[in-house]
Amino acid sequence: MRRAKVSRRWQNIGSILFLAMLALFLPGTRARGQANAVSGVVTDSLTHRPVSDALISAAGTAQLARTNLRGEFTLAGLTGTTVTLIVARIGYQRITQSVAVGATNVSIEIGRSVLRLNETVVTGQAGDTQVRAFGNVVGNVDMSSTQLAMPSKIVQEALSTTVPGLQIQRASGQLGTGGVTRIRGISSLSLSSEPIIFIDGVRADNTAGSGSVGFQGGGDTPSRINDLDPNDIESIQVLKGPSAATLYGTEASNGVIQIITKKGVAGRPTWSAEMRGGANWLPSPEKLYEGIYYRDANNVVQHLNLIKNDEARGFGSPFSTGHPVGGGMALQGGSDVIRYFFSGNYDRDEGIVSYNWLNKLNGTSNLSYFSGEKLKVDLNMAYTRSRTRSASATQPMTTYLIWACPNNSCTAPGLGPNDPGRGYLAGVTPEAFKEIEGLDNVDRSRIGLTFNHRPAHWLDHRLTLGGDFTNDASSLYFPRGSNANFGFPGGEKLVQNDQSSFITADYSATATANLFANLVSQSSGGVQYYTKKLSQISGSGQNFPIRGVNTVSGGGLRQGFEDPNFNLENKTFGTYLQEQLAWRDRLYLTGAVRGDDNSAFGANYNFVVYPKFSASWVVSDESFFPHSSFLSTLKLRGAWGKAGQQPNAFAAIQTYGPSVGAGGTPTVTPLSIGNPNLRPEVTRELEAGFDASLVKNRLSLEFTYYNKHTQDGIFTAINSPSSGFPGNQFINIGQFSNRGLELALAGSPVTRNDLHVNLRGSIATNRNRIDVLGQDTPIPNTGVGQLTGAYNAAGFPVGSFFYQKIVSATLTSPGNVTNIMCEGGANFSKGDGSVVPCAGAPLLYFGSPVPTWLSAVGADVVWRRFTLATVAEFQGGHYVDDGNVGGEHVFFNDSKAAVEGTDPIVVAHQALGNFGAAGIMKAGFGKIRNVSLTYDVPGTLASSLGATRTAVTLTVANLATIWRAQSRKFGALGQDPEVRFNAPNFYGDPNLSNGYTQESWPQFRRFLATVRFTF
Amino acid sequence: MRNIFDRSNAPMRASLLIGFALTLLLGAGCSGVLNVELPGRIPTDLLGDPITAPTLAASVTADFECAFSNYIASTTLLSDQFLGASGNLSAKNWGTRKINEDDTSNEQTSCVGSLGAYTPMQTARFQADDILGRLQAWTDAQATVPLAPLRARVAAYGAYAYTLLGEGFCAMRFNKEKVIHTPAEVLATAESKFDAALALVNAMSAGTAKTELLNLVYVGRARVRLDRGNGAGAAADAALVTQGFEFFVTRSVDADTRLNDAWTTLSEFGHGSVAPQYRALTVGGQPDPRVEVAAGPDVGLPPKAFDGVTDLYVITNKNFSRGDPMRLASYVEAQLIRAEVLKAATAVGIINARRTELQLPQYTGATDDASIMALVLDERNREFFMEGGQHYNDLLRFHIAWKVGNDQNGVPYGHTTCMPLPQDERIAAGG
Repeated sequence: MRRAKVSRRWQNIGSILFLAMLALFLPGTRARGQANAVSGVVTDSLTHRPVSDALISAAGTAQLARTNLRGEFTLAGLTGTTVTLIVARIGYQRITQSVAVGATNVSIEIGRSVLRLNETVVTGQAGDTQVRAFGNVVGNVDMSSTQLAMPSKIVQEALSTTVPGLQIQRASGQLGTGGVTRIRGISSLSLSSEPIIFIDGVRADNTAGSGSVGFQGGGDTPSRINDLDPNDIESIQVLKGPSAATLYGTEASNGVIQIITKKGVAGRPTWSAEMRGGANWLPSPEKLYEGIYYRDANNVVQHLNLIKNDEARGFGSPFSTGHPVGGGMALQGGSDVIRYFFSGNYDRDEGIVSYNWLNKLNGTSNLSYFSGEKLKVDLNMAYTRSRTRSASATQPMTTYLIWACPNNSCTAPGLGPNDPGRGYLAGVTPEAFKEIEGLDNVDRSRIGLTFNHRPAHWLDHRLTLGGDFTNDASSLYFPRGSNANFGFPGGEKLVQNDQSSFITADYSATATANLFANLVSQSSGGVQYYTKKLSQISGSGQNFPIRGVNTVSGGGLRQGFEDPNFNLENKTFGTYLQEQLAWRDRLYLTGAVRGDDNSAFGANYNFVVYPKFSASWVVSDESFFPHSSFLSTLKLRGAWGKAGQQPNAFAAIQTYGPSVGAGGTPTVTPLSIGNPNLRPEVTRELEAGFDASLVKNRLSLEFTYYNKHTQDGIFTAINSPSSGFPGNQFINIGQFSNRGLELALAGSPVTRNDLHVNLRGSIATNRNRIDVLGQDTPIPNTGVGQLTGAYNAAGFPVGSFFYQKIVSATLTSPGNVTNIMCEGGANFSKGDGSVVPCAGAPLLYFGSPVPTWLSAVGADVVWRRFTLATVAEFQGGHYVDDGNVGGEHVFFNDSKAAVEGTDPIVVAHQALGNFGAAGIMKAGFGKIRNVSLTYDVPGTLASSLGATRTAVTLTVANLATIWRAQSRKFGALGQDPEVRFNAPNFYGDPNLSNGYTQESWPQFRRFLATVRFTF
Repeated sequence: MRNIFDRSNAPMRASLLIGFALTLLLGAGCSGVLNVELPGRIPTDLLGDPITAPTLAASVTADFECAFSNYIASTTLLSDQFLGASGNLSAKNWGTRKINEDDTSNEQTSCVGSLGAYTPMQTARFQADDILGRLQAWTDAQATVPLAPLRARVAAYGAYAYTLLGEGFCAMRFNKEKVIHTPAEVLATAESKFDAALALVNAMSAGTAKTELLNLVYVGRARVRLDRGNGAGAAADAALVTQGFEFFVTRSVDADTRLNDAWTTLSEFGHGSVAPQYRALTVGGQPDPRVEVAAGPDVGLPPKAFDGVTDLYVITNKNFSRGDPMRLASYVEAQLIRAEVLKAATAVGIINARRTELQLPQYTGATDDASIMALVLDERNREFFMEGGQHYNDLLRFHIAWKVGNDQNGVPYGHTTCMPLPQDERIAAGG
């Protein structure tokens, strides 16, 4: 079996290598130097550096070319003596330039654009749609440029600060983990709020929190989007809501992320290479984990900083500095017939504890075949193999650090600071964690085949077939003899194999007709078929005969599982029709309707229809528009549309599951009660705004108002067990809304000969609110919500925190209070200011876990050969229930306030066991995410290295937290205001909307030096 | 051969291609393209086949056994036989009796967990009712097996499920009805279920299986009659139980639902520790073999429980492994029911007979009702330590004072006595 597994792996790699070798023998320079061709270089007018991926076309012809990494292009098939070249690229102004046909050294400088009306966006229809024609705002991330200026090792890092209204809720600083992506707030009560992802038109696994058993001990797990190599991505486009994503239908209500990977360009082969190295560390951990308190044998309050204590005793810090290293190569080139992009990348990364590391290998092969001007066939393949050892195989080490000396246990024999236990919770010292091994092995393959065919000038049609296949083999191993407090002194091995398969079949056609002189009609239609299949098989072995045995079959107790809850299949079949009318290429009206059927809809519900309308008016193109030096370009836009979301397949059907009876007898047990009336959750959205360029095109302004309203909200209600069926039931109740503003500004206030300064900033607001709950009583969030007090209540944001609000108590002696009083008012309200005894006092609103505003500001300063790029991110208006802090005050009683017992409010929380309220804090923060300095090595020096271009970039990620809305509660410090659980069903919460954190690893600081060569 | 993309015919061929693709996809859409597999899931209608009768009957046993295991782990903590000694908040709440009606683990979602018995016991009850109905609708010929033993066993387990739901919970709801039942009403139902079970057992052919089920039903009905204050009826049923009878709920390591939760949760994982007052029980100075206790290291476990502070003590004469069976009913229980009802010399005789069996000194104390009652409760506490939810039921039946103040870690005890009806049930029932 092992041979077969290795063999398949090599088959994947071998396929890519074979194609790479094949491509090298394909003609690459056929057009170069020809009399009917033009070749040259495109550079950035600001930095004078080559610009890759610029699209060159010849006016009046269908000839197209794209610049390679050296900025070179060759445009063939021209006639006449001169030709007008049109140069377009994401992020740059579109320019035209006349050149002589046959010229071989054309130099074209393009300036950065502040407003990008002529860029194309992927909207689901066949053929290109220009931004000017689209009634929605589109988030556009120029990844290839972003990676050059501010290299990121994971995709989510690049997304979090570039698209207004898009939030990455990071899970932790543990290497290998990801986060939750939310666009314009939370769009579902119980289903995922994760946008769907397409990679080159093929649906991809968008799992925000994998169920990897290797990360079982924490609430933080890998996110599948981070399997991708950011260096292979050309751009990412984000359709933010239903009004933009209607054509994607069911499942698109959370928005759509379109990832476009790099493709081949015509011209000679261009090699590029990159090497990376650096350090990851946790700055001043002794200040982050500032210590705990306990009463010694003489009843004197003592402070213990475990990190300092360990260092003083010669154990060193429990944290270490990791050293990321990596490198990659890419080959890009092609001819008029076939073009190719191949890349390979390897990364070794290390976290802030020695046992947390990640090895990742990515390979990409993108081939494009052109048959004249009519047909283009893209074959895109990618393979990722990663192996991660988690830091949270068992409960994270931070747990034992934060909650050290619980309940004065440091006075117990063996557990004191100078005893073997060194004060750590239950005496589990950091050394014990190194032998608990949590591994996550991911093999992921993507393949996509797209036919773009233009049989006539009026007709474009496209067929995309593809799949995204992931095999996640994870394991968790406690050796025999591991610390007994982990619970498996006899040893345990868990293995789990998760497989996901996403299949796409998408056909679309667009017909264009000139109805009148100035009126163009574009009619589109298409059918899509998507399948998603998840499977999981797992096994466990416990009680090994001797230390060293580490297989499931080596355990004295063995079990195997194929849990039906993780073996799911879902299918969607949909079709759409769209009509767009364009008047004089400046006023666009679009109407569309999408219909879907889905395997998860109940037997009593068959088909759903989503309509859409949008309008876009480039008013500055009108003759009456008063052009001025202040306002150059203005586009008004508005859109209204619907999209939906459905749960997984079994949700509608009542089922039993297999179980085991006495003597291994096969039995059945009620599993899922089902809901035959289940229908999709439907979100409608109204969006309106404008795009403008100001101050002689030096400043762009993008403003959007959105209002999303979800009806038939699907809620995972706890099924009444009195029915005989356990578990939850998906039901359609409730209506809720998200509305807000998005404002983005970008400009170049300084443009001198050798100094250029670009500034950008954005702010997005969100008001999330449950308008109608569908039942009288607020519904607790399942799992963690019930643990901490997160409820869904009408009139409040999803998953808001409600607790009794203690206002006073009488301290009778240290640690004892009477007369505990709370604020009064109606249950699940904001309180009325009255004071009532806490016994029977209402649960009152403390805050929302959803940020009410997001902001990012960044700057690029270009001075001669140096470029300094920086970006900071801010989030605010929300709350976190910090279980670390709450646990210190109430459960483990090792905070200063808890041990001293002189703060009557803290003592009252203890008396009431008010764990959640003792840890609730404002979660707003501001962080400098990335500061990067790039130096372009002079051409002569680069040439001496055999390269045409060499650049060195020094990057510091997570440089500093510059603002926190609240860092302490009753004196106890919260470690990181940003991190939250992203693990599915951690404490039973499927929604990931909770605002709870506990034990998570804080984010570390990363220094990375990157050297790039282009040959 | 002409290229399909021949430019001269491109529009026409494109149209043909579009038409073909649409036809293909739409055609597929109409012919089950949305059908999905449900691996590991069994649609309810498949249970309608009489041939499944033995599997369904075994399923009732399996679900009850799992629920019973959870019930024992939960009530052992609630009844203070074990100290709560967990570092886990949920388990700690069981140990300090802070189980509220909105508590997740009171209304937990499956029987895979170990603390919380509401959902598992409701499932067991439902399965018994539902499957008994199916079995009674089928004939032996249809099922190809004799159905009488299956019906009787299913009915007996169902009656026990009702009994435990009536004894342990403050209120109850069945089958999503808009009614909330009192414990007394539930126990009345339980007795009627035992009556029905008895009729079904009597319909069986004579043999060992029938005898075993008769004893099981007699002990169960005696127990529920005692709960309902029908001492005479209880004693009468108890008197019919065969000497030496014991009935166990089986446990094994086949699956998480098959584990002995009292061992795995409380002892192996250290979420609890035998309460100090049970660590050295004696009778007349002699160690009581009914509650044998050892420190963790003596049996290969850590010295400290899961909270890292509490000394770990486990019981070694029952629930001592993941696969240890758990006693549900016994002749001893029947005899102690008789002792509780009949009191005086009869009670002393019963207790001393048992002590003789255990080689313990005889009881020679007072024989007034109060003394005998105290004696019987003490004997039950020892005899049924960590067993059957009996001590928990005694605390509730006789309103015995619950532990108050703080636990061994200074954590205050809560106010849970009987287990609350989950909030969602109460709300849904309009309560």
